[in-house]
Amino acid sequence: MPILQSSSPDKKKEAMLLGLLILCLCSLFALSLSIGSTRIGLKGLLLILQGKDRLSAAYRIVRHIRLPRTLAALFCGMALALSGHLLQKVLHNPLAGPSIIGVNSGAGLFALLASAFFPHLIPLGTLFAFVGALGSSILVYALARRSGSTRLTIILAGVAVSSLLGSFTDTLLTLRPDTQMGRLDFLIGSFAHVPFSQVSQTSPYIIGGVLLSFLLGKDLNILALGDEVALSLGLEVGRTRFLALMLASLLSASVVSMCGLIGFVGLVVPHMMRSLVGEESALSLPLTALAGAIITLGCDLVARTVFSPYELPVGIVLSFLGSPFFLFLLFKRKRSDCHA
Amino acid sequence: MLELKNISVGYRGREVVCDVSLTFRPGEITTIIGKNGTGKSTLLKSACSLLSPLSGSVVLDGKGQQEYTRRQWAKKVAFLSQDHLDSNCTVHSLVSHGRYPHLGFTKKPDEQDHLLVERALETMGLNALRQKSLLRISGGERQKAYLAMALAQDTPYIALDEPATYLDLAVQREILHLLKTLKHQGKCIIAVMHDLGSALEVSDHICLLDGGKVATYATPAELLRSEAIERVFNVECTEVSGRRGPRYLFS
Repeated sequence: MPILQSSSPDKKKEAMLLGLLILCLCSLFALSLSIGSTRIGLKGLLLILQGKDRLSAAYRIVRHIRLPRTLAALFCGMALALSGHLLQKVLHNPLAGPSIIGVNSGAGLFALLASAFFPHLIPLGTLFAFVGALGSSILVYALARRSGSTRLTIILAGVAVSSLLGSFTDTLLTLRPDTQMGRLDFLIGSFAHVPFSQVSQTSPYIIGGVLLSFLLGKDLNILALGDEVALSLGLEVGRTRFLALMLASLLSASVVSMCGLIGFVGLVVPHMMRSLVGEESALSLPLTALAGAIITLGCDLVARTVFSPYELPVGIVLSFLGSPFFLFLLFKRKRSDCHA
Repeated sequence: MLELKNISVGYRGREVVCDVSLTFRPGEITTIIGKNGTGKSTLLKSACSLLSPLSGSVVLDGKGQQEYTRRQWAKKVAFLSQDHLDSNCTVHSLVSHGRYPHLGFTKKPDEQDHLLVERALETMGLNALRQKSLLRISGGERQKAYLAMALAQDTPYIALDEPATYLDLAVQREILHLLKTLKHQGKCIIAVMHDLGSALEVSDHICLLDGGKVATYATPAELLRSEAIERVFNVECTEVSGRRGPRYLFS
């Protein structure tokens, strides 16, 4: 069939990219476990991962500090990148991202409320964060729809909601400075003090959200054509949009409850993947998840090593990367709008 | 047969189309014409189940619209929208989306799906553009790609909202020819048109809307005799004979 001939080079390119990203992720994973104040060689690392050499200091460092941190970075990267991808498709807006349209702020506020007023419910922090994230994403969507859903309106509505929720968060942190969440780590986002128990509590939500997102890939491509076209092709538009918003909120909420308000991964990574494999690649979602994990792991390594022995919260490194990228997108969009 | 029974349609409770009853039959082309803002597109969207009527009912092949799932409906009725969002997908991807309602749980297209996509691309002369992004082709080519998507949907009913928009004269003629071909294949074509000459040329029936109501529903010959066009559009219509049948002049 001609169709298979024409698409096979693309498939080969995507398969190569997938292999490359997996290799890159494995390398960064190993690097993240071995680099630090105590360097651990590959041989030692393999022994530790096999559960041997349990009495050594290196084992305890990897098992209790570096492994949870590395897994947290990996899961958060995947979750945020996919959350951004879902939001951009659902809102028909390439500038959307969980940190830009207020999803993270909603999750953060509710996670903080749980921490401040119901400390005994801390294990359910992800669910609280999920309620906040879903509420703010639906609010932004409804506001943008009501006032005419142009690209700029959605972003402006998101910025307004984000700012409002941020004010509540700041007020709460001022009035209740004794909440169980680390103030700086929470506001900027960091993987430094994530315990293993937190990773094992939150990762099922992220793994579930990631797998469900993969199932939505084709429906999201149809939704991206616009509501009218999608309806005429038989897509249950309202249901698909709600499901995608729920998944995006769940993924963002999981990240916020684990590592605080990490920004820009959800904006930058979907763009990078779209420019590499196009808008509708079958592997688009798995590639986006992998690239998200690579970016966060890479940035966390930079945050840990660049000013060693001091550490930066990873959110700062991501902001250095993401803010110029956001401006670039904004001006690129403005230029293309002018040309149109 | 697609029937509209006393439907009123509108937005936020405000009626745009009032108490319209129409029947669209297989093997016929029905065009909806009227001045701007008379509810042509609204009526078409309601007939395609994209807008729920405020009152009245839409019946497709003897079953009410509510008895169909969204996907079952899309297997029977294709709709070409007047407006399209910017999408960066390729022409081939877009046309392949026409098969979406027919895909199973895995959403993998089979041989039949590939065949129909290829045929739609061929029919619309889009083979050379198949790997081009929709953002990198002209408005006319994009319109043809969306039309190819509607063809790939392979439905017995095809609704087109101003299908000749953005198209040059030669391609407009191609589209009119295509509509006639589809009609001879037994498909029911419903089209909103602005070009009265084209509507009079291809239609079996014309629905002339005025102020959200059906001013006239008739064959082109009956419509010309009724002088409804003159009354509604405030123009004079003259039929002249051309090499390939009658043509219409408006002054």
